[in-house]
Amino acid sequence: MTKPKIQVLDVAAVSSESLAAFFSEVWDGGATAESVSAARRRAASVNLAEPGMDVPTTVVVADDRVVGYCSSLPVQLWDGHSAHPGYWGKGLMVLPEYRNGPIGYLVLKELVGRLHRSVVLTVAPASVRLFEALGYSNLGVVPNYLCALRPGRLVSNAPTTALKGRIPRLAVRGIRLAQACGVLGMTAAALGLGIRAATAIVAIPRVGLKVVHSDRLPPASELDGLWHETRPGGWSGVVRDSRYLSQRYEGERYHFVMARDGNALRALGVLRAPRAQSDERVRGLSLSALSDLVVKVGDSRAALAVTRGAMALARQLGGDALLASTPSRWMGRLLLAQAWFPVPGNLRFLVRETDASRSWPMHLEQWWLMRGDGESDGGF
Amino acid sequence: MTEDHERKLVEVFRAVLSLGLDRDVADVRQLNTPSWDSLAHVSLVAAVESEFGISIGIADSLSLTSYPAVKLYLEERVS
Amino acid sequence: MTESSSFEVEVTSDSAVEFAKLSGDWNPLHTDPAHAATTAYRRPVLHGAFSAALVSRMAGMYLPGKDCLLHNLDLKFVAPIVPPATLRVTGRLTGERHGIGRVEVAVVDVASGTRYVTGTYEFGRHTHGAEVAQRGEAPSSTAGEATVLVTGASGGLGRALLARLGSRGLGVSRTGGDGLLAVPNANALAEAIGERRLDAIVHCAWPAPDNQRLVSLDDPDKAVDYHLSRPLVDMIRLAQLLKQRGTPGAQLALIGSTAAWPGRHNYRMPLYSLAKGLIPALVKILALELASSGHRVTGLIFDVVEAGMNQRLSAAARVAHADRSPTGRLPTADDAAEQLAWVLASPGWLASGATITLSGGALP
Repeated sequence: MTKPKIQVLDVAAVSSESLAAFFSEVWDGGATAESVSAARRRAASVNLAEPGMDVPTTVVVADDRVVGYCSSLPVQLWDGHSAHPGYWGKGLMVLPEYRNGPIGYLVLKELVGRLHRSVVLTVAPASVRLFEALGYSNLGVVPNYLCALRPGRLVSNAPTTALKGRIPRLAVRGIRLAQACGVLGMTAAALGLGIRAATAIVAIPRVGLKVVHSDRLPPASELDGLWHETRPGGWSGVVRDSRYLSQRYEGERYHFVMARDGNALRALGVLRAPRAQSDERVRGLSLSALSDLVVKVGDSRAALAVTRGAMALARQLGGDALLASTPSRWMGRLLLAQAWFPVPGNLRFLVRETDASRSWPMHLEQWWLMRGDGESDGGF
Repeated sequence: MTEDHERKLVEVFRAVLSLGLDRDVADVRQLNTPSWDSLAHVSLVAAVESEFGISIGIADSLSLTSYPAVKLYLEERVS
Repeated sequence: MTESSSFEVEVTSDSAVEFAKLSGDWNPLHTDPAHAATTAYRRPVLHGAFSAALVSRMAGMYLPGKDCLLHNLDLKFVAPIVPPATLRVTGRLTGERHGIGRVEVAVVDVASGTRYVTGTYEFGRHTHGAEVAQRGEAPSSTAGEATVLVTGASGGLGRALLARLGSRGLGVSRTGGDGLLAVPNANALAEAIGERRLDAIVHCAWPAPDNQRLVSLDDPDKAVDYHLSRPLVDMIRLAQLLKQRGTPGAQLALIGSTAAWPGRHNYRMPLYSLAKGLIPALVKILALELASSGHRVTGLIFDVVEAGMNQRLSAAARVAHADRSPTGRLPTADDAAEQLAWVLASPGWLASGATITLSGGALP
């Protein structure tokens, strides 16, 4: 027999069975041709960028076997003035025996060629290099913030015991948490910041808004109203209207925190339920995530109310820690003021636009990004 | 392979994979070289094609997984 | 090896008849003068394949000669050979790299210079007799003496294991020789080993892998019988033998292959992959069945080992396989035998029913 024939194809050119076999190998052992077909049909029906169209997806096949895959998530992107269809590059995967060869590059190149406007959040350095080589602008790393919810559960290391009694208890617990994150590399500067934040916490005034949580999103009209209120502000990001929020977040994994001024919805937080992490870096901590936050930039009261509500809810649900990611300096200051700790970021944000008449901010702080963007809240 | 060709090939590997002069290129493989990712692989293939004036198909490029593999491949293609 | 060679051969009408007897090609153009007289050739014409046989002689006797493994032949029958004629067969070596040689060949009429056949062939070389294992005494039928039975012992892995086992090992192969017991099939094993008791059976024997897509098989029944059913029957017979002759705690080791899993091999040997894929489940079943008699069964999975048929790998294929390994090298038969011996040496029972991968972490 001869060498395998390698082809780079649109996913529509391969059978659902071949795709299910690939998925079973790399992701979900239970994938079937039926489940794969159904998922694709469902995704097309809720395509936010091009309604009714199949979601752009490319594969590489060696003879009849799918060996590489890359897909996308349709969204509308807000440029500060209007919405434009776009895609998250998502789901790049190559079978182990074909990694570090040409397959990843080929499948991504083919997909990128079909996406006129796309954004990416990615962790792996190899993946970042691929995207950059394909014309994406690398805007940098999205900062992470971590909140200790149950300090008693965390591993403590010897150095912190020496500090006990000399700084507030909350700070010690937070430092322990950061140390438990091991390879995350808690710096001395961050330690210092954490200590200051812990002493500042009592200075935050009561916010005076009603905070409610629920397993269900508010009605679509309220969400669209909130989006309408929050979208001005000169920042870019995913359009967080009712269509997006319901498609993205409805399901068992998410809980919702609303801040209301009387009956008016002022802010919405989306909390990913805590779960034990297998990632060695967080050593079995039960980690929750603030996946999204829809709030008017500058409305500190509403933002504080929702984040506090999220912290309380995450603790109630059994979380040891709560993770948030945001490039917004305003939001970052708010989190630090509530004794969250900055920890080194791992998500890089990249942008690519092929329409020469359109441009996007090249500074990360001008984007409203949260952990749930690009479905990046799936793991640490 | 002529000495000149071998020298060129070593230079291509050092340049594409950012290898220091202390690294023995003869030992370089995908598995033991962190800088050899998918992008580096494509760049390496393109550089070899350009340097030696040949065209390498995707199926062939899959088997170019180390310096010895590339050298053998060139020995069969380039006189 | 010389760069060129030639020989001459006289062909007559008898040559065509002899060839027809051998090949079964009694086409009257070659064998019936009366019929041939009615054709444009007027006289019987020698079979084209006869010239191919002359090319085979060039390869097997001259270029390269003794170690020749003919890989392919590409011939043009330029003109018909009408006996009687004296033919000169010439060969010229045009290149040899990494063990693969290429020869330009021609068959020419000595008297007239007419070119009858032109073409090329490629050859490889096989090794022979280089690695006869250093073994202890020839097997003797001693009642009560416990033994490690190694099937497929003429292969690289079997030989290497026997070398380690010394006098404890008893190697069997289909044809015997080199101190091995000749046993035509698994049914005949019990009788062949006499009164011996067995400490272990290591099953290294296996049919040479297939190389056809399943959907292209002309005779799936035969192919499945050869590549799947018979190996399974053999393994069952070995388990039965162990139950009858095994010492307490005796072990059956079945050799599996990473070809049973997805990988770059792209299932190029589908029946081999299927058959080796049976081993993990079979090991579990047999472990359950043999537990009551105090016997153990383990599956041992190897990746490509430099032994047996794999010694014919081209240099490029060898490098490609070595590149999959974290160590950058292919295990030798001795490396594999060393790990096998380690498993056999352990008296523990917890590995029974387990299939252990001994691939050195090679990527699929």
